[in-house]
Amino acid sequence: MIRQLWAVALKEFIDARRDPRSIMTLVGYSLMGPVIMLAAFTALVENQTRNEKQVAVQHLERAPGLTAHLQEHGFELEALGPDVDVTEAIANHDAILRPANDFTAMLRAGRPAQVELVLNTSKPSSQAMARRVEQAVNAWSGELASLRMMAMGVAPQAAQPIQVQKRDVASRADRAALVLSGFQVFVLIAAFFGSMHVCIDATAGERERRSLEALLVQPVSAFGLVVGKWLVAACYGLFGVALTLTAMGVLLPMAPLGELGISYQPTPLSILTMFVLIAPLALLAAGLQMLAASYAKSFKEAQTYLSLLMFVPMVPAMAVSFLQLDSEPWMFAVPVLGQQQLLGEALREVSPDPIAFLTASVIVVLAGLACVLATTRLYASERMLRGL
Amino acid sequence: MIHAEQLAKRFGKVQAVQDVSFEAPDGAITGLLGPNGAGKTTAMRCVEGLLKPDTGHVTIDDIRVARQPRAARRRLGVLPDQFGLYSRLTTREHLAYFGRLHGLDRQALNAAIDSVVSQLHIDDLLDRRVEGFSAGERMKVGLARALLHSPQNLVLDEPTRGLDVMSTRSLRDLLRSLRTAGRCIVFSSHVMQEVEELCDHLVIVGDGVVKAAGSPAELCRQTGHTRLEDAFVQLIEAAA
Repeated sequence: MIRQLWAVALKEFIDARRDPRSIMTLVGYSLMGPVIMLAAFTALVENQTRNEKQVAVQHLERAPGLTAHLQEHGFELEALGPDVDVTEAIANHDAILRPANDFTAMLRAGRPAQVELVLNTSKPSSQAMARRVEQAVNAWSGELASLRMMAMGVAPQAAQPIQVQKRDVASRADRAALVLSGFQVFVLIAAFFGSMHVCIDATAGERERRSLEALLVQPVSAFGLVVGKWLVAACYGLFGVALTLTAMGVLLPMAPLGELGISYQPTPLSILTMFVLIAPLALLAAGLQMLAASYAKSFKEAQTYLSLLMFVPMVPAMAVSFLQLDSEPWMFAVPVLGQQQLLGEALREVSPDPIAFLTASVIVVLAGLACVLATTRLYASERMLRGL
Repeated sequence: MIHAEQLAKRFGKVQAVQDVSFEAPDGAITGLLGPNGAGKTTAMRCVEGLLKPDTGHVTIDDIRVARQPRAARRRLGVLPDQFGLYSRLTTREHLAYFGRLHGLDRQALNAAIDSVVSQLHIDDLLDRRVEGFSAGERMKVGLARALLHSPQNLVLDEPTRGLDVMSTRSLRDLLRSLRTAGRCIVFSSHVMQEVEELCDHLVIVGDGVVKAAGSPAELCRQTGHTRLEDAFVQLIEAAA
């Protein structure tokens, strides 16, 4: 049986390698994740660190103190004519300040002076700029308050009975893990995408090309056939994971993560560790997809099944990720979720717990084997001939 | 030698085969003849061990197919309809794959490939991918695959469908030479001319039962017709 298993594996390997679609899904999906992450980080950082300070001011002359303060704090001011309609002008400016007519008079009288801040909350850049302007105005307001209190012989601290001090104990690696958690899903999915096309081609594809009958009349055990196909598909899943991890290792250092206050420097060793942690999942991914594709009569039908199926094992992992649940020991026993937890720990640079790794791995491998046995039963039954 | 004994097979409400018995001896070509839906393919699949008959049994060289399917299949070569090839593999890769499935080691495999290649004159096809082969070329590759492990018994399902005259002729010649070599050959067809020219023994199947059996000449005599086609139609319609 080993010889036959090897023959099947060899043939499926050659067949898949020559199939441009297999290679395209493998490479395309594997690179997609890291490329999207790189682009997203770069855009995020660019947005957060863009530090322009520009504000348009209408009736500049009404609030000389305020404008001087803004200029001192690095704002570029642009004067708007008194006839300009600010609701129209906001299209060309991120923020517009309009001191009230009696601004200086009210200030002198020690009563609240009004200044209007015009912004457009549907524009992220306008929101960010308005926040900066507001902070600067508030700061000046605070300064004025302190001066007034001192003039009245009151200590400015009296207006500030409580002061909150934040202390963040998350390490840079923890923060990195949080930011990179989106990346985990891409790695997990790569195990599925890598083998998807091979699984379909070796089962539903074989049926569609009418080569299945010729194969089933050979003196082979269904188990040998299925295991041979399974192992090759799992190999492609591993290629997918390896490619995704490698691409991450190459692309992530290019992302300006330091600007986000996190540091993540993947080393060949950490990439390899993650690969080992995820590797057993490839066996389940291939087994599950083969089982589903074996029920399909055509390539298209199988594609429909698998594109739906792909998200089923992701549900626990995504749920935990969205609900932001803390890691619990039982999570390692849930297929896919267990791998996600292991990956999360690896990203936090926690050295993997051997028991957790063994639990998670044995469970996915057993689940994969269960799929293989179910597929074998199908291959050995007459149902396999339906539609032929 | 293939022997089928009172085969019956039902799929849900459809009785695909009701009562089919036949004997295909060595050194002869036996034709399974019947209209579409008569139960030929189901009967053939029982012979190949892909389907388990509800009642009755098949033996291949005295091996019960249902009990020892793998031992029986080792003595069986099959050319399925549409040949069932992998378009991205070359002819040689096809032969190597199926030879290995039969457990041939490297040396035996190479010898077997050389043998079928010279038998079928497919040297020029050997290292080309099957993609783009003509129907005749595909048939030859399929046949080479079926003959690779030199099975004593050969089953062909409508092998001439889609073939041109030249390919049909070369297939016919090959089947005759296999018969001379003492092989047992069974093939299903509904092309009268081909069956008449080639078969020593005919089994007429209709509505899942054997309507008649005998040589083409015997069947003509039995029905009083000179043409096999007329005899066939009468046999199928008489019992209906």
